[in-house]
Amino acid sequence: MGAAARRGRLLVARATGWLAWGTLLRHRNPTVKAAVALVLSLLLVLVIDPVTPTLFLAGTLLAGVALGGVSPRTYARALAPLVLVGLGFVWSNAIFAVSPDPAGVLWQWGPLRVTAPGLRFGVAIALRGLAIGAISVTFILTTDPTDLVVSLIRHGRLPFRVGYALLAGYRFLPFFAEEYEQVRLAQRVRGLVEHGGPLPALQAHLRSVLPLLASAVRRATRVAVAMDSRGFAAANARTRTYYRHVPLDWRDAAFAAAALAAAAGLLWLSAAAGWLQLWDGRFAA
Amino acid sequence: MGRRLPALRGLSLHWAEGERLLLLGPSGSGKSTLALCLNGIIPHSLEAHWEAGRVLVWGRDTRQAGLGELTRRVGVLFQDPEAQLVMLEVDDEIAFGLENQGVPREAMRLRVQAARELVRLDPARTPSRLDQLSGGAKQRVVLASLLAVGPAALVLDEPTANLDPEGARHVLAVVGQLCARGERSLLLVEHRIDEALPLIDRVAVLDHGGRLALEGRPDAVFGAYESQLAALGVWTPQLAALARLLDPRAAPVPRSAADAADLLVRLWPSGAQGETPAGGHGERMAGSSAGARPSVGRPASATPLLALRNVSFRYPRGTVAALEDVSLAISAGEFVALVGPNAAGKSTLGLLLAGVLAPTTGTLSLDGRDRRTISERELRRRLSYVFQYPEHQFVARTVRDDVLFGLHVRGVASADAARRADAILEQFGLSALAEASPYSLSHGQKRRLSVAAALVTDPELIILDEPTFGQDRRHTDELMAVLRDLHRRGRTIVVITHDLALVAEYAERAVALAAGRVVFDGPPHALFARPEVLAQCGLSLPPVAEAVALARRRRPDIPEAISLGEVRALLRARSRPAGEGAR
Repeated sequence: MGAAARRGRLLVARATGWLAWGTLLRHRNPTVKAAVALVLSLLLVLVIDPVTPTLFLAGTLLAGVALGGVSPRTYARALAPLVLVGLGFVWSNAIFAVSPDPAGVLWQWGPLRVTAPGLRFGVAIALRGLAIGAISVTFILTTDPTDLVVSLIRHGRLPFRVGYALLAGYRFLPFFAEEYEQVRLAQRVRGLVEHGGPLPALQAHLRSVLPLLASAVRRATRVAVAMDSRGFAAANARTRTYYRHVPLDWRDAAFAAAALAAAAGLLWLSAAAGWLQLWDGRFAA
Repeated sequence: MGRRLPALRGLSLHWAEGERLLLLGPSGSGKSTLALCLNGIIPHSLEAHWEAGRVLVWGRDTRQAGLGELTRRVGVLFQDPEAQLVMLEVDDEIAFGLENQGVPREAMRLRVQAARELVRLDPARTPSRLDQLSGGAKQRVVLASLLAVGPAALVLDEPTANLDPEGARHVLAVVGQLCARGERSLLLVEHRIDEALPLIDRVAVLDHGGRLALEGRPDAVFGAYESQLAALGVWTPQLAALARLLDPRAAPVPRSAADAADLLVRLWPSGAQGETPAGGHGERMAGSSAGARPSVGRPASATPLLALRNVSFRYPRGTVAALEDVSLAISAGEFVALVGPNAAGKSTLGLLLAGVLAPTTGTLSLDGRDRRTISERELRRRLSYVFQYPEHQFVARTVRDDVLFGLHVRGVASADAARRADAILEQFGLSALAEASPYSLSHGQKRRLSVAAALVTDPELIILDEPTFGQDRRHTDELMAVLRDLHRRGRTIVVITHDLALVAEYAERAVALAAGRVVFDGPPHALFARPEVLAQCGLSLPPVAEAVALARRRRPDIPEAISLGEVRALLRARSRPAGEGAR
């Protein structure tokens, strides 16, 4: 996809303005979006009932599909691991939660006891994790990483050196995965056969990490030299300019207000219906 | 940088405005250090112990000038594009240097466009995401980023070393155009001397101690100082060597294959032996008509050592197959070169041959037995693989232990293992470093260690992925001598390489891959006679082969030859009386 095509799409989006519902989330300022996502996630941390996170989860998915152009299939793939982790939470809480009330026992098998409050708490935590996961995934899928870093520097007071270090580091990630694969293959060729058992497996992993660290340090040094060779060391925060224009205007304020209002609305709905339960500072059901 | 000796010592070198200077030297001679001194990275950004002397850029001492000013006037391009890119998209990357200078946005847009044109990155035909570009295109993006700032001098530190031949050609073509009319000064550090020769005015050569060994016009340096340059371990143009073979009294150094062809037409001895069938005289067979390879003498019906049958391979996360329906049989004692562009599947094929990867469909057999019936232990004992990056395969804390490791896992008794390890360390010049950490070695030493560790178990077949990558001439010659020796002792060698000159000189069979399929399998001569296959693989004829092919169009009596070794053998046969010619 060429830059011309992208510019074309941007023009179309601008011309239709608010009517471009499908890209509405994509065009919001990344720093504002990150702040909104953070606030919503923090709110959810305080909630320990299963219904409120479900409302947030549904709201986020709907917004992501309708306003962010994220396909349901992408959500399914991204959230699948969280569903598995959540099931683990449900299981462990159902079994291990201490219930003072013997009437709460739903099912017992030997020392294993499944209690109703435990089950409820487990489901609540699982759904909460899923809702926060959905918010993060929506943020990531609707945000261009370069725009995010430039916006964090310009609107979020992130020092530019840190921002560009993040970008350069982000470029490294695929190389790590590839190099790890190469190292494992190379060690197999040398005759390092992984015998069963967790300890040898751990040792094999550690052995693969050393070459990775060595090459990461070398790569980082080279990138730093290359960046300084292009004037990065001599750049200064007051005079440095940015090729990317990342807008921040009233539409972002409207978006933030709308998102927070929606969250407040969901909390009010949940409270009015008697579902809402907030964390009281204890770590058990 | 962890070295006790100065990287550069007593160096006096003058680089004139608009001059195109080629800087040569063995690895560790301080070429990169010099490059970093020229744009002020040393001493402003990298700590260095500055003992004495001055570096003046346009009369300004670099220690007094600011880093911003120096980097604006001198652009430095490094070897690995991946280790220079910062951003995720092309235009952002090109603008990076401009942003650091504080250029206003509107002006940036124009300068990014102009820089794109200079390096021929057409926005309509290049993806905007950097991770979708080839290595050569990435290197041109970095070059554009330097050019956008408008430096009057360019320092290119091995700009093509990490690229495949096609990418290298594109980069050098752009560089040639950028500095064609003295509009920019150029300092080029480059191993592809034959390709670089038409681009330069003067050559300077550093020695091992970072001192100036030789300097002068390319003709003078390459024409008269071959033995000194060889002793230094510095690459010299193959075409200069060709010219010397034709006229030992140092004919002018040809600048291009066409020049060399003129020389061949003029100087090739004509005589009664014009009809001599190609091949049969030299150490290597010349001419595809002969069809025979030095490995004749083995019964034709013998089961191949390794055979892939209808093999396809897809990486777990890959969207397309890395290899598609590949069948390949390798007989014991062959010297095979796998060639092709980056991402054609060469390394994947190598790993499949080594039995490290298992085919998605199809079969691999060793001595006619299916790979799945052979134990990992036997496989590893008989087949060895040397990875492109030596660090990947280090498994021990010291050099000696790393070599011993392979013997221990194969159950060789300790005393015997120690003897064999010490012998091979001696052979590879690593004895003094036996107790050092493999990671502390220089690049050339790491490569030698990885080969030593692969050879210590005396495998029947050894596969090497880009063994000469990033090596200077001495290390390349040493390594190839080791491989040639192993081959003569009956071992089977498979080399994955981009270097067709190396294929011409050493291999007896070339297998070319393009987009996961075998597009050619036969002797190197036959590959070189198929321009359409070469084009498909992004390859071009090595200089000597090209010169001979051009000359043969005008003088058909010149026999076919693709390497210096063959030309040497043919000329030697000519100068001998007819009766002694045949073996």
